[in-house]
Amino acid sequence: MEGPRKRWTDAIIRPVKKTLFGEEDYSGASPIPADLDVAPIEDVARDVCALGWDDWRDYAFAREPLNGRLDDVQRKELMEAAYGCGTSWARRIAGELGSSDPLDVARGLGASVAFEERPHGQDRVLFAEFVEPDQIFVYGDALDKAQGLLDKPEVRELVGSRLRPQPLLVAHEAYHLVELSHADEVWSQTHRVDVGFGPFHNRSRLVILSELCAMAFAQELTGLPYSPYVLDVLLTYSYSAMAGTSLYREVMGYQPKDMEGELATQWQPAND
Amino acid sequence: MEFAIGLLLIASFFGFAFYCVKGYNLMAGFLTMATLWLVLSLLGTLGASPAFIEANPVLQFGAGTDTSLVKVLNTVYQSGPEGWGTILINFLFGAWFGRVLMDTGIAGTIIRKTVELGGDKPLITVILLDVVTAIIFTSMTGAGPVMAVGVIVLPILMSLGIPKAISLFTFIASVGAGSYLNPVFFAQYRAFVIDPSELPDFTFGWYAHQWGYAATAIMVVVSIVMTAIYLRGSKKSHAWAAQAAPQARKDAPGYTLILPLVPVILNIAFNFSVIGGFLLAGLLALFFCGKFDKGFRENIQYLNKLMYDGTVDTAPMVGFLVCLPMFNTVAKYASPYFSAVLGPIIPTSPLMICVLFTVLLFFSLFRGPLTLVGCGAATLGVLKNVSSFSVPFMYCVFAIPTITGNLGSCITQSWTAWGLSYTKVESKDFLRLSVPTLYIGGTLLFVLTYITMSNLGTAWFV
Repeated sequence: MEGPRKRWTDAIIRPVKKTLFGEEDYSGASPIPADLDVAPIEDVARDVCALGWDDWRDYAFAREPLNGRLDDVQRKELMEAAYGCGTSWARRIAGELGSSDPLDVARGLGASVAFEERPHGQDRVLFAEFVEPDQIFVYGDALDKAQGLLDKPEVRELVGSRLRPQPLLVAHEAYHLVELSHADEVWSQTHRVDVGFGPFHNRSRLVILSELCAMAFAQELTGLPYSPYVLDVLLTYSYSAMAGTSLYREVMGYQPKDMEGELATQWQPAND
Repeated sequence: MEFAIGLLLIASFFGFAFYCVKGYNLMAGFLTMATLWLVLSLLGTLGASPAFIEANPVLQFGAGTDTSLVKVLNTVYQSGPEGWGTILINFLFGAWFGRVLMDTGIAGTIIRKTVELGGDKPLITVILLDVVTAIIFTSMTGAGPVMAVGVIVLPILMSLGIPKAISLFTFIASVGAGSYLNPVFFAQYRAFVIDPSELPDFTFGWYAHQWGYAATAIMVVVSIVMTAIYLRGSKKSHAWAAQAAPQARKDAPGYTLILPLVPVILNIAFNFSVIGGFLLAGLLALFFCGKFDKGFRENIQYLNKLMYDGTVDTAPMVGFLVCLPMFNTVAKYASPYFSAVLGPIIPTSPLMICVLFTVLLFFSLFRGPLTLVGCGAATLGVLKNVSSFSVPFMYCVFAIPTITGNLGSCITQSWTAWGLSYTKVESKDFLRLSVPTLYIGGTLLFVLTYITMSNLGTAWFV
C-alpha cells in the first residue's frame, strides 16, 4: 500500500526535481549515429509491416506536443482506446453508407476530394490534408513516389496486396470529417487528459488521438493487416532513403536520428 | 556632368533592385555594383564642375592631393571588407552558440516545456511560442538555428490545426521580433551607420533601454495579434505528413534553460563582450548538459565540430558580408552624385523621414532599397550625405525595414525560403500575412523611433 510519504514524493518532489535537474539518465541530446548506412528497402518493408498496432506507440506519441505530460501506462491505454474508437467508427460509417470504399465513404460524408501535385523536400513529406469543413487534398507527388516503390516486385511481395496508398490516405482524412460531424460523440474529440501542474488543472485534448483514430479507421476500412503508419516510413524512404532509414530506425527502437542537425546541414541557404 | 552621373547611378540602383527581386546571388551583385559605382564615380570627377569637386573632398584624389587612385581602390576593395572582420567574428560565435543550444537540447526543451503549458488551445500555444521564440532569437543567429527550432515549432503548430501559412508566418515574425534584441545583428547594422570604433556610447545596452526592448515587445504583440486575427478567419486543417521527431529527445536540465539569455543579459547589464558571453554560456551549457563527459581529446574534437557546423551555417552569408562592405564604402564616393539629383527632394526632418519610410516599407522586401541586407546600404549612403541625423536615429530608421521587413516578412530571407519549402506554403500566401504585419508593426516602430530618437543631443551626431 502506498504511504503518504511516497504519494507526496511522487506528487511534489519528483516533478520538481525533474523540472529543475532533468531526467536522471540524461546525458545530453542524442548523438548523431556514427553508422549512417541506409537500410535496404526490403528490410525496411518487412520489419515495419510486421509491427503490431501498439508497436507504433512511441513513434506516434513522439509527435504529440503534450507527450511530456503523459506516462507509459497512459500512452498504452490511449493506444488501445484509439484503436477501438477508429475501428468502431469505420464499421458504423461503412454500415450507414453501405460501402467501405474510402472514396465512397469520403464523398458519402460530404467531402470533396482533390488530387494535387505538390513538390516535396526530404525533410517533411506531406501526403494528404483535410481542411475544414469538407475538403480532402491528396498529394499526387507522394502517390507517384509510393507507386514507384510499390511497383517493385520485392517490395510488393513484402507489403502485400492490401496496401494501396490512395484509398488509405483518403480514408485517414475522412475520419477527420467524421470527427467534425460527430464532435460530441467521437472519443478522440471528447477525451481529455489533465496536463496541469501541481494544483493547477488543465484538461486538454491530445491531437495525436485524432491521428491514431484516423489510422485505425483507415486500417479497418481498407482491411490492411498492419498499421497505416507504415506509409510514413515507406513514402519517406521513396523521397530519401536516408530520411526513410532515419524514421525506420526510430520506429524499430534505435536511437532517434539527430534530424535537427541533419536538416540544418542538408539545406544550404542561398544568401543570408 | 554630376547630374548625369547621378541619374546613371539611380538607374543602376533600380537595376540592382530588380536583380535582387529576381533572387540572384547577392554576393556577385554587390561586387558588380561596387565596381560599377566606383567606375562611374571616378569617371564623373573628370567632367564634374570644379565647384562640385571642391565641395566634396571625398572626390578629390590624384595629383596635388594626399590621396592616390590606388588608395581609393584599396579603400574599397581592401579596407572595406577588412573592416567587417569584427562583425564576421561575432557571427561565427553566434552561430556556434546556436549549435550548442541545439546540440545540448536546450532550445528543444524550452519549446516543448512551453507547449506543455499551452495544452490544446492553439492561440495560447501561439502566444507562448511567439514569446519564447523571440527570446531564443535574441541570442541565436543564422539560418541553421532558425531551421533547427523551426522543425520543432512548426509541426507543433500545424498539429494543433493551425493552417500551415499562419504557422510559418507567426514563427518567422517572432524570429524577427527577437532579432531587435540580438547583439550580433546590432553590431552588424551599427557598422553600416558608423564605423565600429566611433561613438562608443552607442552601446547595445543603451540601445536596448532606449529602443530595443520596446521594439521587441511591440513586434511580439503585433505578431500575436495578427496571428489571432488570421486564425479567426482561417480554416482548421489536419495533415498527414511524415517527419523526424525532435520531440523524442530527453529534456535538458531545467536550470540550463536560462542560458540562452546569458549573453544578452551580460552585454546589457555589464557591457560584457558578445563573444565572451557566447563562450561562457555555451561552455556552461555543454558542461551542465553532460556533453563534456568524455576525455579531453574527444571533448575538444566535439567543440571543434560545433564550431565547424556553426561556420557552415553562416558560410553562405560570409560571401555576401565580405562584398557588402565594398558597396558600403563605394557609396560614400557615389553619394555626392546622388545628392546632386536627390538632395532637393529628400526630406531632411526626422518626422518626414519616418513618414516616408513608413509609406515605403514595401521596398524593404525583395532586398529592396530600404533593407541594409539588400540595396539599402546605398540609400543609407545617400541619406547620410544629404542631411544630418543622429546615429541612433539612422540606425533605427534602417533597422525597422531590415528586421521587420527583410528578416521577418520577406520570402528572399534564407530561413523563410526554407520554411516555405518545409511547410509547402505558397509565397503569395505567406506575403498575404506578412505584409500587413510589416506595415502595422513598422508604423508603430517608426512612431517609437520618432518619439525616442529624433531629439537626441549633438553628442549623438558624427
